[in-house]
Amino acid sequence: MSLALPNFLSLTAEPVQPHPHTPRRLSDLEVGETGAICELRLPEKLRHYVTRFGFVDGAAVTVARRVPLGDLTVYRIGQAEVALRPETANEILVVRQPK
Amino acid sequence: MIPALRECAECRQRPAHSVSPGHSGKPLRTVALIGPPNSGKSTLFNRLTALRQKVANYPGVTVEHRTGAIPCNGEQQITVVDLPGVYDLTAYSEDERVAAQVLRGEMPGVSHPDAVLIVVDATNLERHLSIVPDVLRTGLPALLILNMADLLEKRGGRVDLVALASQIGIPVALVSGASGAGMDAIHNFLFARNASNGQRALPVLQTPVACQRWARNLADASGYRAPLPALWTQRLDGVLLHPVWGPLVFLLVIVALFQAVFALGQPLSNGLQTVLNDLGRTLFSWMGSGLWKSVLLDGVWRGFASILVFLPQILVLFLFITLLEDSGYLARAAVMADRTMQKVGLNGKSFVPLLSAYACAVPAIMAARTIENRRDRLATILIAPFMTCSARLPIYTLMIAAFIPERALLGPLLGTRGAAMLGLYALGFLAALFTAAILKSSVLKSSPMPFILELPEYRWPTLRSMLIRSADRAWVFTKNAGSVILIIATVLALLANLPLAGGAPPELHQSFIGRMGHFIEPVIQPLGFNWRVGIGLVTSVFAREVIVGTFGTLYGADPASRDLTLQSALHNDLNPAGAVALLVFFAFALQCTSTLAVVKRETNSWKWPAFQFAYMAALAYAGAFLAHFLVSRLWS
Repeated sequence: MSLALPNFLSLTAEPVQPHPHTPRRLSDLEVGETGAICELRLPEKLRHYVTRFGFVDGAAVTVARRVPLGDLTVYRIGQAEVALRPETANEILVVRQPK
Repeated sequence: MIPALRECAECRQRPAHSVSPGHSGKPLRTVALIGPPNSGKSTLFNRLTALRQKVANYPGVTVEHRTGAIPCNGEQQITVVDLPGVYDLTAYSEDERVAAQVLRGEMPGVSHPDAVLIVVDATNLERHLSIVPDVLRTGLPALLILNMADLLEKRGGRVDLVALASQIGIPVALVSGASGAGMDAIHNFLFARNASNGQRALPVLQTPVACQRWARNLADASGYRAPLPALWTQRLDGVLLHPVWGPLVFLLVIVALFQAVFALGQPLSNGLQTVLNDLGRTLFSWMGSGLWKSVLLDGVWRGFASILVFLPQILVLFLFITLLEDSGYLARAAVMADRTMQKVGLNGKSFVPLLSAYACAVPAIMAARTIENRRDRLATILIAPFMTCSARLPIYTLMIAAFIPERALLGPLLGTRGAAMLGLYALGFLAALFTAAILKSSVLKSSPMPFILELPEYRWPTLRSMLIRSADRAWVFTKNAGSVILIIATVLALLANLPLAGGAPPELHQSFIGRMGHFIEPVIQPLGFNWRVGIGLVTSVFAREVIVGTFGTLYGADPASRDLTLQSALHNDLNPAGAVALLVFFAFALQCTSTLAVVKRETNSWKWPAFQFAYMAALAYAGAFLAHFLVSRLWS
């Protein structure tokens, strides 16, 4: 795992792309992007709850679409489509996978 | 027809006459049906048992206890216990505790199941199989039912049933609850008694993560090929969850729901009311007049009729909601409504019950069953009666017509009377949000369970399933609310017809109810109400719309107002401040015994309906007092 500097701290002319393996929040993925879950920063009981929907370490999650009239996002995980609020998606860390 | 569906893997493996360990030879009496949410369990249950169903509550909890009977030729029929939808048996939620208790035979009043049917979604096998280890640990003979076989097939998925069955050591059947394909395999398991409780060496899986991993490996080892993504669902969601079209369709659906209830259900209800009134008069015409006729006709019969007249609206509403639910749209509506509901501590799942409450709180409270979180469900039940139901419309229209002169506000679009009506709708809605916010930040504060909603694939709803479920809810309503209403109606009718004056029922204002109206006059005087309104309030505890009839009787009996229309009589009798106060009172008060009865049934205790009645009465009194105070200040 490596730490990526934010762009504005970069001293080179070329913008520094975050390392592809840097864990990021699921909520930060764009529509159409896929990430592999690497960490669930949730208390035991909540972790158990999200596990039932397939949110387990290693599972691939794709951002399917943003829901209108609110802040929910639909994620495709396995065969299912599941809507999450950002406060939950913030606590799920993923490694972005190439398309 | 898909030929592979007709076979049960286990039956293929064994000769039909083979006697296997387990419950061989012993006929099954009770069978439990278990499966995760969205596995199509209800559709399957309906197909297995059709209308031979019974609904009750498990003792002490709000979880519904649904049983049905599977008929069979000449043999003792089998009772199926439909367990709540759960992902496993870890006992985190009330549903899981109930399911585990029933399977272990520890639920009072439910006989220990002889076998269990595990229903999972065949298109979502890797995830749904994780329920299997928990269920098998109970030691009951089991059949694993892979439901939605038609979708799996259509979308190019496949699974090797023999491999799967030999991996877990129980028979496996691939069926479609929607089309009925493959149901033979279930009947074979239930009646042919060749099902085994075979040797299986399942690993002990402590954590849900381990369960998930086990399920995924099992699916792999059974040659499971997941179906292609549901193309139609993605296309439809492209429109129905589109930033612009999504909300528009959402709005259209809401308007259509209202239209269906008011344009279709309301006239049917009104027609039924007329028919029932005429029928009542004809039925009791032989009795002459007197106490017993009044009690039977105005009490028992009117109570019975007041329940029946809700049925058309309830049926229409439930057909509509079931259509939305079975097609998969309901979940989309819920995610779009989530933000609004979130502001008062609820989530998107409360949206549909609250919307239904604009027609009638009774079906709305029953619709709250779709909310899994017990506290959210309770909060939704408690605020639903604030929504402006159709029973408030008669008194609203009467008072508005009597006191508010019609003037244009927004050209032809909105007049003063329309605005007043809208204001009353808004008042109820605000009271609901206010109450929800209070409840959810105090007594009903729930542990911060994240809001996760699975968006099921869009499907054509089957008319059969829709009709069965709507009829079932209508019957539950009639039976439960009906028995309470009959008692209350009879008591009220007796009070309205006693004490006898010279052997005949007294004038209404001299009856016990009339005396109660006079008696509470000092209490309601600060609201600007006189004793006539008092009598109206007492009689309308039974049902809101009754007050209009009561006013009709009272002003009709008074020589001073006999020749006036009801509107003019009211206009002469009440000042504007009192009129506004009366409207506010009706916006807040819970004058509906049907609602109380159904809340009692759904929460399984008298505590919540009592609290709800008291809270809404207090709010109504305070609101009416304030309205009277403000309007009389402004007027003078």
